[in-house]
Amino acid sequence: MFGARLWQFLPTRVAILGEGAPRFIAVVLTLPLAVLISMLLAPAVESLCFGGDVLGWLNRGEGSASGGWTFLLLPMCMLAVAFVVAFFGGPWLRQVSKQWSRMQCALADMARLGVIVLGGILLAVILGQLFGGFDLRGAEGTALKYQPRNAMIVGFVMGFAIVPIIYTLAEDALTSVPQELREGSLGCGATQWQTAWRIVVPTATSGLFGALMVGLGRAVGETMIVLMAAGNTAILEWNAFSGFRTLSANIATELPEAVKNSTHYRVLFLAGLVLFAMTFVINTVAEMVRRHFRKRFADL
Amino acid sequence: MADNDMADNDMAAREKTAAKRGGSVRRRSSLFARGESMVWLTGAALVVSVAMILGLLTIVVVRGGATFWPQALKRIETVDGRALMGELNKTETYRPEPHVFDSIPDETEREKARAMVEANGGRSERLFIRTGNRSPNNRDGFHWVQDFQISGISFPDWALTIERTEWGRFYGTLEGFRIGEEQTASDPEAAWALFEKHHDDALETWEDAQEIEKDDVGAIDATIEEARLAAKGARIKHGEGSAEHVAAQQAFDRVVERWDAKRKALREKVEGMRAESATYRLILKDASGAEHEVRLVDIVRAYPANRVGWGEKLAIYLARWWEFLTDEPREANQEGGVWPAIFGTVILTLIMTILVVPFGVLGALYLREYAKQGTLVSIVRIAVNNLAGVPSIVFGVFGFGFFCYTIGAGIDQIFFEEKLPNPTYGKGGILWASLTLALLTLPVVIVATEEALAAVPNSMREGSYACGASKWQTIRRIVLPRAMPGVMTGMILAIARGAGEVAPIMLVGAAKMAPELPVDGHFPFIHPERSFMHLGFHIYDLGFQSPDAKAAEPLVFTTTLLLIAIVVILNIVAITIRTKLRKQFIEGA
Repeated sequence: MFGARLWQFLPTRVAILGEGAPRFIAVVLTLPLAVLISMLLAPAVESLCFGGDVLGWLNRGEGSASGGWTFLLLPMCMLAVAFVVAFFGGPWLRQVSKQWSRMQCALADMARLGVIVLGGILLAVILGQLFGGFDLRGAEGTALKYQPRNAMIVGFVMGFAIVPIIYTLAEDALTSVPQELREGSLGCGATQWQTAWRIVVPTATSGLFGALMVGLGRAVGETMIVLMAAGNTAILEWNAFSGFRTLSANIATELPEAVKNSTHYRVLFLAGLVLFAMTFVINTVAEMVRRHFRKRFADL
Repeated sequence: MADNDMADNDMAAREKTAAKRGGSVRRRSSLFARGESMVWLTGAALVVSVAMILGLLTIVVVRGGATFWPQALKRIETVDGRALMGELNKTETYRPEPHVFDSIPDETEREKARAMVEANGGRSERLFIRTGNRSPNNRDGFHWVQDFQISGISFPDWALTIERTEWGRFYGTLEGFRIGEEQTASDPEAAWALFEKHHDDALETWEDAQEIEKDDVGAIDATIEEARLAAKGARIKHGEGSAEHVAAQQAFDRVVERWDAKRKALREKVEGMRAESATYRLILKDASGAEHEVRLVDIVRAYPANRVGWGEKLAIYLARWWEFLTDEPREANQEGGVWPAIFGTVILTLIMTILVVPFGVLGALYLREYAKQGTLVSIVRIAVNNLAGVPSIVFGVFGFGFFCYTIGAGIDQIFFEEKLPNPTYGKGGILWASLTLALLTLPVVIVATEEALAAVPNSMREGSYACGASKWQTIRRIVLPRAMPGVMTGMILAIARGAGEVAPIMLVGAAKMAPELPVDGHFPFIHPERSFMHLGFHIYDLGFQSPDAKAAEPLVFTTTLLLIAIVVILNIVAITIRTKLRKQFIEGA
């Protein structure tokens, strides 16, 4: 419950304070700090938004819906404000900052961060109040039920499981960008970050996209995580906190019990076919994109 | 060209050092250009990933490792006059509803409890106690106790933790020792001394009886079954009432007659041994004061939990680990060990490796060395890569439908007709599971081998041809040895993927309980048709299908720890072999 709120405080640790070799150590140290801060602040946020008890709020419908809406809209508002700031403020800032000293730049950046965070929260609160009338929890006459095995958790764990696959493939894509490109960019006076963001990432886009697709394909077919953490309810609801089941989990639970050659048995085989077709399409697209990417390097 | 490169490098280096010094060197390289915040973001993402993995490992190691540590026995008395004794499982903070206080009968106590919760900001702590003592009448081995209900906690001196062969643990205070109907000790010390004296003997006799029943009686049963099948086979082959059938039937009757008497005698002997060893009993009092008798032969392990010191605790801890690693499971897999599952996992992985490596290597050899590189080969490559992305459950469905129900049923029709309708190969078994996993890991091996073959420099091939070697000789003597470490890498990846795959083998042969190992002392020693236990499936089964999920929860973590350890060990073995091979071939070349 506290960890989930971590992202709210994520921007604090990207504040500009210093740079250099020990930077990574600082990043490592800020993580526990961020966790600590979020632990300290979480009860306050909880009581502010959900009347002090998230589970109670979810299960019994205590308090108003605006807290939930605020929470739900926060990331989107954050992004929106950041986009607006970058779009309108960015070029202007770049013009003005040409003559600035290092300190001034840092302050301006800090201010920008503050504007984004505060603006995002403000926007989210306002929208939350506006939407407060629509109580999602009562949408279908029943309160949203929190179940201990739910879609949110599966989503988290699945992301966890797929990180290594995407990481490996993405790293492959990034390393196969020719070294000359990097050196050329650095030689033209670009900084490391500019090189990485403007040269390396665009060149490797198709590889990165391929990695994403392969990860997606793996997630579609993953069985055991869903089987264990999704509750396996056959009834589907539009509620991230209730259970569900997937094609693969369905096959795994029902096939051993299906009578050979019965309709049930054949339907389960059909489910397998659908699953295969889904991953087949995803993988073929990913593979074609990867090939395209390889060809591009052959030209370089 | 080279000069240019060097100049570029120089400039880049200068830029870097300037950036390091932290001065805004030129107007254009302002702080914004350096994207410092974004660099922090990428670093943070990496840190979060690493922290997640470390967190996962820590949780598994800590919770899995703590399972077997002997805990003190708490006796808790509640305000409404109940008493519980057991091990503390966990504590939890929650917000009690107003009506929970109604369970307290006494008015003043109820007010006290309310005040206590009020003082804690409306929150209360509850203890989850493993009280054990399950029996046919008492199926719940766990109880919640709210902190405001507790009136006293004590640690009774002679409280015993007893691990029974059936019904899980028993917690009680030692009262005496009984042999037959006669009470031989009535104080705890003497009873404990007697327990230590007789426990091993009683267990041994009991186990001897078990062994006789399993081995000798089992052998007789097998002989009779063989004769019965021979008779049935003769009937099917030569028809009802034919000379062969009658002869086989008579032979069967003779066998039954001869062995039945022997079986009876053995049974009697076994019963006698059992009755004798079952006369030794411990007398215990549970938390509520009721007296219980526990037969010594039902006790796997017992210790006075509040008297043992650190050294003894450590000994118990290690003994439990040993039991876990080497014994067979009891009590719907919730007690005892996981030896069959370890064995099943390792054998499955080995058979899979033996099947997949030759096929994968040969396929890759053809693709890379012999096939003409063109559209067709491209399509095959895409197909192989696609195969790597197909969900494992689809492989399971394929194995189930094709291996078990098509090939297996066919084999049964031809070779095991007399056993029908009981399937021999027409159901899940270790052979089919290994084949399914081999298919699953085939693309991994093919891709890794292809890459290894491509990495062998062409000049070596050409040199070999120039010396007059044929293509096959070149591949056999020059290319393959060079590519061997790469092939091993593929094998390692295949093992890593195959050993952890649970979904497909659930369909093609993993069983909740498979008392007979796929390899044993009975002819023909290897039984590829038998179903097996698998650690991954065991975890799923323990955590989600066991009758008493709460008791099984710590074991889930321990088994997970074990599975991780086994995969790591298999990998380390493969990596060691690879290092050796690499040394050998590079020195030899």
